[in-house]
Amino acid sequence: MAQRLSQAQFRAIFSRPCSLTEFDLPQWEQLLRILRGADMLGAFYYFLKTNELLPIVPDFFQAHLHSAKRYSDRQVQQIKTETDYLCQTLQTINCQPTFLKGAAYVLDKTSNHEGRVMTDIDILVYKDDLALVETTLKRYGWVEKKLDDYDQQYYRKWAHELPPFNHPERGVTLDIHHTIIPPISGIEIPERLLFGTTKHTESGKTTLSDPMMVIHCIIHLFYNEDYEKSFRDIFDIHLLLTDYEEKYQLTSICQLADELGFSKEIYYACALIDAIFKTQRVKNLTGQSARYTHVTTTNFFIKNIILPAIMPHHDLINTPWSNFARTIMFLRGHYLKMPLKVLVPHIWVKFNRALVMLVMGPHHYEK
Amino acid sequence: MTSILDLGVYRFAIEGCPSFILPSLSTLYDDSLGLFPDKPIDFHLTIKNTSLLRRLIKPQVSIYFDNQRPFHPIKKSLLLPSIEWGLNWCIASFDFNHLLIHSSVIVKNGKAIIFPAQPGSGKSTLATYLGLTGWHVYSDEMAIINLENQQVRPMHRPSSLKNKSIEVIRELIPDATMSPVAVGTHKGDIAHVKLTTRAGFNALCDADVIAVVFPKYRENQSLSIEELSQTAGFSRLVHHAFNYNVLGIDGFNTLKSVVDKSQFFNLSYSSYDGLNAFFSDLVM
Repeated sequence: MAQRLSQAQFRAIFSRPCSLTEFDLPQWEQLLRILRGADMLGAFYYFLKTNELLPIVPDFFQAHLHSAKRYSDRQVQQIKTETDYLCQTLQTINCQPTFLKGAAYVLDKTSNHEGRVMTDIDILVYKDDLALVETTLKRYGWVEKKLDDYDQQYYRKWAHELPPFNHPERGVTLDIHHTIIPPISGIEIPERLLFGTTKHTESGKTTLSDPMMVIHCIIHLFYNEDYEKSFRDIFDIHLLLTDYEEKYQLTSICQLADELGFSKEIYYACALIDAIFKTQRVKNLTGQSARYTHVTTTNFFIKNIILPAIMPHHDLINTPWSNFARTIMFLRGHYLKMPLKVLVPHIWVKFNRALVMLVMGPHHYEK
Repeated sequence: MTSILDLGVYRFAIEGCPSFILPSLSTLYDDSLGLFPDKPIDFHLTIKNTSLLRRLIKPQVSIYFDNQRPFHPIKKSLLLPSIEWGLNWCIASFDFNHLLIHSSVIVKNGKAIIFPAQPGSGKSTLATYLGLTGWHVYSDEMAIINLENQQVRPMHRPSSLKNKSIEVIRELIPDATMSPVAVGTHKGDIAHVKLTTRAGFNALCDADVIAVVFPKYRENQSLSIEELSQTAGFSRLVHHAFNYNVLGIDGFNTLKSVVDKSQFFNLSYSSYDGLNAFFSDLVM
């Protein structure tokens, strides 16, 4: 049995890309599986290209990289067309959607958009427009995606979000948001900060402001319970911050984060990125975020729980500890999103289902 | 245990491969099973039991591809067809370096005829019959077309037969090497047929497509062959090329080159009499 790639070796690729020159074929094979499982093959192509390391990649791996690149390049093209269609559709009700996450990265041409794959387009609209947006989309051929009853109820009652929409002819999924953090968390972001600072891209589409885009990506990572594919998120944040620092100081992000109440999350992100990419971001933090630098418990939590939890989830690289860390992050994600009166019944339902699935097999609820 | 399947174009590893399935794999894949153990693998499939209880009662297994589980769990006895579908799924989901057309491919004199068709049209049965009567079958399921030279590439795999086709081939070619029949999959009864040895496969080269035939098996239908224009052929081919929309300009150029070199036919038949002669004429 060939030597297993360790989590430390995996992380080292991103701080010391030339460590790849020491990889043997079995390690490249493991890396292929881990990156493919993390949806990061296309992004890895561009990472290697930036680092001028494509020539050292073994042939078999090269083929998979090019395939993934071709797929993600095509998606970039598709996003441009789909966002055009969406804007035209919503123009009929004078609604100008703000594109979030993957679609926004493509429209704004941020460094992380190349090679990145996405499964849906996310838009942000005013809460008051939700109902009208829903009926308009339906008139233009979008249909609500079927969710199982419990999840559907949950969405409507607690998440106050529309369920995802799907365009059967074009095979696109659309997520519609009216804020960038689940309302159930109790945190409200003032509309003036969300919509008042948006910017227009070259093609005339709307995205969040630069600092808001970074903060959204960070919130998305830390107000989440599923950490199986989070390595990509931290990679996103790293590249977004790198772009940002070319134009502005980190201070402006820290100020905005303080105003919104996400100083801790900014610290988490920067500390993780420093650990993985060997950057010096924590040093440049200001305001509330900087205060966490010397908090022992916070640093312990980052190093021992979050860092192992955001490693790609794959049998090849999982350790009992990283599985445990991911469970902690799972519980934490739920706790953050839900007040206890919601969380307890929710966990009860999910727990019962888990019990049934343990006995009957994990596919009992599939139709 | 882990078994390697070397299909030529792709290399697969099947982890957790239950031992009862090995004789079938060994018969169908010949020396491609376990070939070149030290070469890297493109796709790993992992077979896992679904739960403790289901290990004892009505045993079920799932096929995982890294962390994904593309199909519903299946009865353990139906594993072989699911492995075959798993291979197809990996290729179709991840290979954007080739133009993939849902089609059988038969080759003689270094010239390829492809049979693009929907499931149930008889393309696999036709390819199997021809593969056992003098033709090389490059695939009974997908034409893998090289984007650089626009030629179709061979893949070492058995063909798969559904339901009545199993009896049809057994009657026509009694000494065909066939796997045990998996009864009652979601697509019906399935059997796999070995079409070539590894040594036979090694002699195959990429081939130009010179004809595209859209087959339609209809009971009691007399043989009917109708030539189509290249324009009509092109639009029908696009319909069967399942990664065409991802490949962009390379996909278009490849398909155009195939169309430029090809004749197109609609074919309805209920018996194989005369087909061999017709196809042989095309590759003269």
